[in-house]
Amino acid sequence: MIRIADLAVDLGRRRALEDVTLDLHRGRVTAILGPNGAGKTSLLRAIAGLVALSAGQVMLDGSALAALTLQARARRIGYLPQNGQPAWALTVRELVALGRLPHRSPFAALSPADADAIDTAMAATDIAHLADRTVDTLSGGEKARAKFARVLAAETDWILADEPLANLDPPHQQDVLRLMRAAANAGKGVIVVLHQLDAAARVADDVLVLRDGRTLAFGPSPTVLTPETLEAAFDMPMDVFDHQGRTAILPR
Amino acid sequence: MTRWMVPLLTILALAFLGALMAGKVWIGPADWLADTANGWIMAELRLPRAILGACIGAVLGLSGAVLQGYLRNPLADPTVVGVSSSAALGGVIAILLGATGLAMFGFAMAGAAISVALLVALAGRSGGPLGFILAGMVLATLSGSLTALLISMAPNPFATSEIIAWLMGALTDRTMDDVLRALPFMALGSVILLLTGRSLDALTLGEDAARSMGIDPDRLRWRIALGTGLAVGASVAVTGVVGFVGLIVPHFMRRIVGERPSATLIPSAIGGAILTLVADSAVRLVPGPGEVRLGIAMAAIGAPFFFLLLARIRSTPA
Repeated sequence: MIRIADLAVDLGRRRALEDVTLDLHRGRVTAILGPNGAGKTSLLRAIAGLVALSAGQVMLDGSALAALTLQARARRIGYLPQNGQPAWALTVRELVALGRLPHRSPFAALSPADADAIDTAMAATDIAHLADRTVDTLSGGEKARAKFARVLAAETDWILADEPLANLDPPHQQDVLRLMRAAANAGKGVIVVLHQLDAAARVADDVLVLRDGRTLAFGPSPTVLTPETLEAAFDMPMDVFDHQGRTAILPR
Repeated sequence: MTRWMVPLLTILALAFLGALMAGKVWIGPADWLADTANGWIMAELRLPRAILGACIGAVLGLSGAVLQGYLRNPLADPTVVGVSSSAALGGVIAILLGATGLAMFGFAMAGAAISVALLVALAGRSGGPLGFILAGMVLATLSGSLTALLISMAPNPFATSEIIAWLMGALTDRTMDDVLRALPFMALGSVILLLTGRSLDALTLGEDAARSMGIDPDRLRWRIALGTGLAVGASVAVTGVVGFVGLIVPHFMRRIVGERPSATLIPSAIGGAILTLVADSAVRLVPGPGEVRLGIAMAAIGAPFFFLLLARIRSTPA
């Protein structure tokens, strides 16, 4: 379990998060929603241990995140940053293999366990046939799956993803949503920042809505994705429809 | 990577043998150990020169590959982070003070050490690679201007020409003493740089991703500054500034061994040694009195070569 208590984060002089308290559980997909500048990415980065906390704390299974070594943390929390274009044209397999870094001692070659984890992650994301292609030759959807495979290969308890659907067409968005769902069903905790409300309705068990750095609403998805809460979050009236068991959210 | 090691090492061995034989006087293997003028040239001039050429080429190639990986930019090389020019400034001060040999080496290394300290201190607050390169550019500009100032204040034309000749970089008349002085620093610096390989791989996905994979950015910055300072500082201290090796060799190696940063480190070191040995043999073969300075030759060979490489990269569909 990840327990966030009285969390505050400052970005320069601006307070990005204030007084955020919530518990997150494994086996569930938690979507973080909110308007631009609401603190979604800051919260994700705080959970990943990438920003200094100004107040409060983040606890992972009862121990403070800050007390863990970088490597111990990296073995338990995987982080998929926004728009993380690889700087070099690695092969797909090399990219996925990066996920094993936290598990390897310096200069150690890939162990059989590493190779297994890499193969499993590539199979789960359906990129095994791309193994020897370099990432600069992949389509957007293939690239998104390869980056997700890197996080899966790390075999962490938690996966944090910052807008993983950005720049993907609808079918590839569905691919990524399915991967997140599958990871949660396999017992991982998935925390994802989303801008697509429909996608959140589709994939998330729990939804957190942030506004001006504070928690506006947090709870099971149907209780949070209501016209009232969404209007309060985005200052825009929204309709929430049920269509053959799926939720559609339309700005009015 | 391993697939390329045997051919690369073979070419390195050939380049080394070529560097021993080539020059104004051609010395075949039969004369190497002979008690003749040629034997003396081999032991006192050619051998230290070839060893030094291979070593400085290797550290320049290696540090270029490390810096390009760290800054995630194929245009980086040791000259842009200020270590070379600071070491050169130290050397220039030594020349003006009349220091030679070990004292001059000490001055240049002190220049490199100061630049490493400033690099880490200046880059420290802003953190990542961007702060590092900005601090490096400030340092390079500052030491470059101080060097120019010292040249303009040189007491006599002889000192001026000595400084300028030294700055251009050359392997002429180096002795085993120079080799023995520089080698420990180069070796230590190279080990430190080689240890950064996995962190550089992680940085491929950006700084946040690298940190989330357990890479400590402060430690990495220290290692890179220190490793570059030791290895490149020592190379500048014995040969002056030789550019281009650190820039073009990693480019070329990426085309051969792939782009994963850690896989380019050792091939770039070998490639740097090969390029420097070949270039230094070439400058000795140019007819006429004296010889072209290595730094000038390297730029003259390097620039068109780099241009061709760019043209090829651009014509390859992405």
